[in-house]
Amino acid sequence: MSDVERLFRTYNAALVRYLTRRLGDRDWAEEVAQETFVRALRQETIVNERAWLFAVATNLVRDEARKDARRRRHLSLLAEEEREREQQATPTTVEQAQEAAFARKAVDTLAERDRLALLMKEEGLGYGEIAEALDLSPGSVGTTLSRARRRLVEIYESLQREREMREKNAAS
Amino acid sequence: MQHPDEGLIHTWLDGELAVDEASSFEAHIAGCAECSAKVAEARGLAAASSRIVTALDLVPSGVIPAAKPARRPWYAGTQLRAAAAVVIVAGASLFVMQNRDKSAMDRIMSTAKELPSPEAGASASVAERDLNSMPKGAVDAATSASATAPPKREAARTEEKPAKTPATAQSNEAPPLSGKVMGVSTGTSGFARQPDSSARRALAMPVQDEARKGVRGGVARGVEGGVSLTELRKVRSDTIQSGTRTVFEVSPGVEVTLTDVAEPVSNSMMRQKTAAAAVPAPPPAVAAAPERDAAQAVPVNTISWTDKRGHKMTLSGRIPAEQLELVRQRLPEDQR
Repeated sequence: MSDVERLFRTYNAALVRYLTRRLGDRDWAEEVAQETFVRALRQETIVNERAWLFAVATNLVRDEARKDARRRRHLSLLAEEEREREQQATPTTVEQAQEAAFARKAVDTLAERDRLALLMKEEGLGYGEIAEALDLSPGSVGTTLSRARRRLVEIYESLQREREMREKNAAS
Repeated sequence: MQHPDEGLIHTWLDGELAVDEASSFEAHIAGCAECSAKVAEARGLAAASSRIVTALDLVPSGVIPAAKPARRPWYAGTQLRAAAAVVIVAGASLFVMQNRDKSAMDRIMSTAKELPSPEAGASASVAERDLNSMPKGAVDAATSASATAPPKREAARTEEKPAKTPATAQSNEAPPLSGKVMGVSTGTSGFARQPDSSARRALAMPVQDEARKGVRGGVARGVEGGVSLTELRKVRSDTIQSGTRTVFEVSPGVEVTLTDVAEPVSNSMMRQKTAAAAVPAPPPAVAAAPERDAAQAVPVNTISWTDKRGHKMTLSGRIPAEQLELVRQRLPEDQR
């Protein structure tokens, strides 16, 4: 197995999940993830693979770079295999769909850096890795995360309250 | 120790405090009701935000319109449709012209050949830009331009567009597009005997793009000259020099040949080493876009790759390269 295949198999799922959560678009996320692996090929040495991949993916989202379609074709076949293996989560109830919509809205409301730090944390990155990927000082990751979490929960809850109010008004 | 701030509490919760810091933190919490309440709250926030982030995965975004504004520019869809329209008009008009006046056709074709390709590429992109603003009026102008444009450029454009489209929008649009594209391949065969293939190749491009999507979806019946693939059936297998040659039937009456050559170990190991050091794993070498000479149905296409055992594999047959790729996917894992 080549080095890029190993990288791909190790990190693709987490990276795509992170990007999908960030972008709200699975296809786009896969595209960015593949571009990230293409960049990894060109890189001579990567000290911390995970931090490097998440940092590059994050920058790519920023730059909206989509290049090198030829090399990606191979990776898209691998991605296809992986996608087939996974079971796609689909909302089964209206409540779940509503929950997802609120979650999206709440996550989108966060400041970019807070959001990225939170999504990386959810993918299991450590403070050091998050700091490296986002170019933060390691000491500030805790503060960033605490702010992100508090704000996310507050917004989400206020969305729920609004909805309850609306339903109550509609009922009366 | 002073009362820890919220950042420190989260750092501790995440297990990111150094051992000595953690122990003094814990000592403080044990004796401070205010701080232990904060820790409990932070724990709740962390758990809740985890749940919220996970809820993002419940539904592909875009299904619920209120969740986010449309990222897609208004012209994106039009552009795709316009591109398909250009191709259809080009195919149809060339077909009509050929029937009506063969010499006029030849004139056009020779003009097309004389155009230097960078210019043709430029005019194609101009035409395409025009299409965005006024799709109907520009179609005629674009007809000749896109027929002479270097096929690669066309391919790159058509390839990029659908990839950016959110999944939901794509599924809405794919069926009509593929319908149109299939129409083109019928029109294409109308001037099968024309010697110049550049126009035809340009026309065939969107078709190939469609085929690419077919590869993703596992279906590629829209491919020009494509067949509907059935289960692989081994017809025969011969031993050749340093390997085997196996013939599979992939569709009734359609056979492909798989050549499996085990290279000398030292050789393949050396190659792997170089590959790891210098270059990416070579993507499967899909044979260059075959000249689709419709006069002899589908030409023999070939793809080759090195499989997991280091064997040099070659697959060839009279089906499009895209479908060969699909056949390859059906081989035993260590041979892919």
